[in-house]
Amino acid sequence: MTTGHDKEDNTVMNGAKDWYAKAGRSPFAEDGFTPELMERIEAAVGSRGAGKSKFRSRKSLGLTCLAALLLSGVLIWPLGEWGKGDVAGKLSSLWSKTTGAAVQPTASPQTYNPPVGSAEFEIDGLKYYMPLPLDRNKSRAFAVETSAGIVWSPPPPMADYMKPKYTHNTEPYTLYLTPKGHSELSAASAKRIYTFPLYAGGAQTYFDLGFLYGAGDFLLFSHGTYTLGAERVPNTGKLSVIDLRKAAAGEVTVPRELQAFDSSYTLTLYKSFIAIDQDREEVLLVNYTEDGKGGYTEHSKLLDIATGKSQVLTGTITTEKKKRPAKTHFGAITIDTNEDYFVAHYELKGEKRTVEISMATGHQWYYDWVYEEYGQKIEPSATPK
Amino acid sequence: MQSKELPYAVAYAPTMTLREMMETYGSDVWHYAFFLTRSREQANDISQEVFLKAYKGIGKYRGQAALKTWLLTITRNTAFSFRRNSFWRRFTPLGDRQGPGQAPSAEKEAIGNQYVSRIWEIIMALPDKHREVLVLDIQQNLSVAEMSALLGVAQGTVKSRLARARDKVRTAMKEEDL
Repeated sequence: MTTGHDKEDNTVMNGAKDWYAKAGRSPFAEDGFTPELMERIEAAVGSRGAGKSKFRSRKSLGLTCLAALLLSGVLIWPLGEWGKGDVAGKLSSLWSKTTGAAVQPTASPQTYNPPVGSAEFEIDGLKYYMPLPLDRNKSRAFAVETSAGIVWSPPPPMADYMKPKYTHNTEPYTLYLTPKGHSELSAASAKRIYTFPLYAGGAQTYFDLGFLYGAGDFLLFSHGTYTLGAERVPNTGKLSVIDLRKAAAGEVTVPRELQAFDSSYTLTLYKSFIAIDQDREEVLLVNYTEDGKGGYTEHSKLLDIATGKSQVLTGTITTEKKKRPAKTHFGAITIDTNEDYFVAHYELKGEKRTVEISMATGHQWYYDWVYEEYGQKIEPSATPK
Repeated sequence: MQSKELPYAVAYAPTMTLREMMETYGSDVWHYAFFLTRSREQANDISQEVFLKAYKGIGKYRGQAALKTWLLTITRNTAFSFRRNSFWRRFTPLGDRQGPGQAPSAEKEAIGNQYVSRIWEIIMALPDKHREVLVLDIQQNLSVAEMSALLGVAQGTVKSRLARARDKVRTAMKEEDL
């Protein structure tokens, strides 16, 4: 095999040809661009009026498949806010009043044989699969580890996913609990711990579940609402918590709001972040505001997950990039590599603390990554807030 | 110097059907998207988006670059857009992990030859900027000039990244006595 610049760059090619030739064009036995994918693309073109040659702007090019739509972030972070009214009451009215102990781990080892369409997870070295119908968006399937077991949420069926602003789920989001090590994440073998309302304040307004995060005995999750046909307010929503000890014991419990993010909360500015301290069961929220002099002013808040109490930190918070061993999956094999992660250092009542940053929400994190990886600087104004 | 682009593909690009375009370049687009994202699902979604954009925007193709390079540029921009969106709009954990406890397990790919498998494992473990130039060279057969245009960096930068990437692979292979 020859490469495009063999002749122009022979010096760097010395010794490379052997393994270049042996590596071949692709590591895959079968082409990833399958006939099925071609048909899917043709179907998408047809649905967008393939006969029209008029160029559509990038902004108007809504992704047709639901997975792509969600990957674009439209639904990932719940947008909008709760409608007026008794939110807790709405939630509690749908609380599943099941009783009994948490699901116990099965005695026999599970056979790992995920059916077609399953969402797969690897948590703490164990594999899990969530059987799903083929029309579900696997990128919206969540599973996180908690002290009570694996809490997971399947993606609900959606309707009108070809219509921007009108895509909506037709069934509510539900949380389930499955014992650690039980490889199949299915409702039949799990304990249902909570069903969220489908609607939130009106027949056109839907509850939206965002990100799940396990924090010891608690489940943290982001959520919000969206209204059909309405523009979404970016980066707004709420962070709430469920006490899994109560849920696992079959006690009635309702999610408790921990933090609301309205449009004035600068969650995406500069190097804002959220750090969830699983050991202390705390959440560190750090966001920035522009200081009017070209810089940023830091704001930080420490939330106690168990009590919901918060305290404002007065000292400066620093961040540090670190590396740790990790495994990257590629094909049927696993690569040992190193991954970057960041920690935040802060001080509370004279105690110096360090916590891993769980969620990088500020744009600057992305800009820094692009610069480090590709040597390209991105102007903040080039990306929408 | 240009890569071995099919001349008729350039000349007749505006009149190519979508299927012809996909049959000719689908594999290139998909593989480039995969090696940028390391995700089969995202490679599928990005491929779809690329061909939709190309189909709608073929009138914007001026023929200065090979059609494949144009498609790969769209692929790269789309992949970056996916990544950028995930960075700023969702609470995305840092690093390559997709989230604590949320990383999909290994996709089942049939890779028969262990030697080849190991080489690609090493390539996949390279930093993004090194992996990308190597894939563009090995897999897409682009020239330095084409890579330079695609990546938006100087040709010297392409060469140095390529050399560094090869060195890393060679070093890893030596360490493993491959």
